[in-house]
Amino acid sequence: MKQKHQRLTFILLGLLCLGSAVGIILNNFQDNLVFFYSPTELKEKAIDYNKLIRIGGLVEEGTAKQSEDGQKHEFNITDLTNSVKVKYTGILPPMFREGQGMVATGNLEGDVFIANNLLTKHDENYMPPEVAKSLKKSGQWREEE
Amino acid sequence: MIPAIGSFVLIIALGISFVQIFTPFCKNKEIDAKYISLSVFLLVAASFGCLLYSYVTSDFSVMNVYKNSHTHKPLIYKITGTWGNHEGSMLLLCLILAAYSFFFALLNKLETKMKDIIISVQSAVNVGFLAFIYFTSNPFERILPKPQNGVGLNPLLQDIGLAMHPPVLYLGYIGFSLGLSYSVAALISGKADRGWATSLKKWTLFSWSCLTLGIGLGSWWAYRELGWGGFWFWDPVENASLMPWLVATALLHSLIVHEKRESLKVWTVLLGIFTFALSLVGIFLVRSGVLTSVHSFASDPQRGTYILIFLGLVVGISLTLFAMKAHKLKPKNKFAPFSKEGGILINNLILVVLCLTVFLGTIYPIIVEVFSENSVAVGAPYFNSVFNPIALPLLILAGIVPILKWKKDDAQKVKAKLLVPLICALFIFGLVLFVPDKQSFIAAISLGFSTWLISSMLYSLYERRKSSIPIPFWGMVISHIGLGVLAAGITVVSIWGQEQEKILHANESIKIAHYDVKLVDMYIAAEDDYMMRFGNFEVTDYTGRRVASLQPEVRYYPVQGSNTTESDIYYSLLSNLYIAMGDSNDKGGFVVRVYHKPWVNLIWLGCVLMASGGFIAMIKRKK
Repeated sequence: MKQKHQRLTFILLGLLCLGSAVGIILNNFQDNLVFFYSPTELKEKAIDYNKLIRIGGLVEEGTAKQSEDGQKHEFNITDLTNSVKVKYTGILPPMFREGQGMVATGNLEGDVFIANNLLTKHDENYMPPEVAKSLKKSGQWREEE
Repeated sequence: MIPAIGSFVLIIALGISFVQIFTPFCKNKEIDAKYISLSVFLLVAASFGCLLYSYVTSDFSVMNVYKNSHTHKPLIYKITGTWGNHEGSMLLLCLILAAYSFFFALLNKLETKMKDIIISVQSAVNVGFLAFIYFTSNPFERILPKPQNGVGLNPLLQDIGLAMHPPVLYLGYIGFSLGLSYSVAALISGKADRGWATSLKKWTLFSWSCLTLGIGLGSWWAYRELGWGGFWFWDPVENASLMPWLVATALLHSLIVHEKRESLKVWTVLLGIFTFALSLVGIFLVRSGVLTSVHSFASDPQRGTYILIFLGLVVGISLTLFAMKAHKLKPKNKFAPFSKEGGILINNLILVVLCLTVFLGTIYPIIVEVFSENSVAVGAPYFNSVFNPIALPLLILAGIVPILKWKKDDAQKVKAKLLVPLICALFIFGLVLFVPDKQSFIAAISLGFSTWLISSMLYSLYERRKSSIPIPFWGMVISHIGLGVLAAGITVVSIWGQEQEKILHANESIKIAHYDVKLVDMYIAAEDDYMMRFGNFEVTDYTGRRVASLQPEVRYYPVQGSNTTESDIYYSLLSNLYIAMGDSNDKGGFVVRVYHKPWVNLIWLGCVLMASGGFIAMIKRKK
């Protein structure tokens, strides 16, 4: 009987641990899931302005501008069908170029995407999968090779 | 010629490994298993040697060399470039696996039946990986005609920290294959005695320590090379190495219970299976390219599918065995909840739950991707807010459990032993709470917990000062102190770290913490395989005394057409001042990022302490 009690205590303790962990996880998932959209989807879907999202595509040729002090940047991200204007304050990542694939995290404010984080890849041959998906969706994807 | 030999010996190794799955069960054994394992090891080593040779001699008729090397690359990176790519690193993995199998066959002192099963399972895993290389990622594929020069190695990977990172990491990952083999052997033979646990504990200690070092090296590389001054990004690939580490830590502790008390047997066996399964999950995440990450340099769905099938087979077969046979492993001893065993069991629960939270956060985006059109990401905030609160109690436990007695302990006696650590912890807690200008409740809690752990360990040494302290106990104490040091480092750097980003022209400066960082001038220079722009910075402290001059660089590698940021760091005893250069603007100014990273050195020190504790604990006790 004693051993049964002991086992029960451990099982209950384990369940309690697991339960609270699952509770914390679910609670956090709600707030911390960041959805990804292509520029076309941004146009088509109604998106909550308060929610953090990610967008991806190519930096449109001839749209990158920077302010006097070099801190504020503006450029368009495009999936070659639609494009969205992005504003960003801070240092651009080293591989930032027009025509390069990139993923930005931030909020939508009106028609402008306010990015607080930009992700480019460190390798010219590499295309982030999200960007590839974005281009495939808009039908502008060309298989290389 | 050489590449052809490399490919040829690989297929022979595959054949021999396949036969070795069955040879242990043949009636008349004419050749000892260790010679067969040795031959597999030598063949894979020869194959690896051939690839290495192709790299060193820049044989661009080999596709792999063409894609990842260049004649202008320094010799050291030609050598390390061998495993700086998917195919080569998989070959390295096979080499390490074959080495583990051979050394097991050579060194173990288990009874024959157990040994036979383990060798057979190891061979099966060998076959799995060798076939993976041979059929999906053969490093010896040729191109015709032979190109003049190669594409070059991703410059980010041209770093000594990263050159050492894969071998050390694989020593960890792959060592856990023995955990699987031992578990399967225990299930089939229906017993797992003390000798079984002692023997597996040694292998697990070694692999665990290597994995700890490997993760530390990776983090150190990311810190210096990625130029954002971060040491952990909750990148899926980092998580891939953290998950097996967490479960392996649980396995290590439950093995101790198994060895000393012969209980928790079923649990230990289950952990043994899952540790290796999670290593495979890690390899799948990294190699299949399902995730966006710095590491996913090879994305090929075929490879992903292969590893997934392999993983399914390993988990499916071993869990079926588990379901059928686990009831045969009966515990010998019972124990009270308030005992060392009880404490370790709670530690195990927490570690497994931690692994689960990481697993969910890592795998969830993939599941969403498969079942819906949406792409989602689970960011660092999720991990920080879920992982950290669950992990903190571990610090408390790691300070109490080692001083508990086996079987059953007396709460009164324990209280007396914990008085000193408690006072130390409260003192630090109070002290941190009243740091002028920089109060942080979270830091106070977390540093209090670390102090608790470290002081409790030191006090336990003090208490035992009159008797001789066994070497494994030293190992445990060092590892646990390492954990405390690591936690303290992470806390201080995340809460009190500072960061400034500014455009600087010559003779302008940035103030950060108690330092003044001045850009003196800038130069442009060219090296063999890259061009660089570097700034000369002078760092003075608040008294105006010059403490360092730093030269961070931006490198441009024309072969790959890519940039890397080479930060430069001023190391004081515990803290770092970290400067990274960015792009230039139109008017001759440079974007400069300066970080003050207080106590960040403790993070690497903590990892090294933890790993050394593991190695020390392996040392045999004198009889």
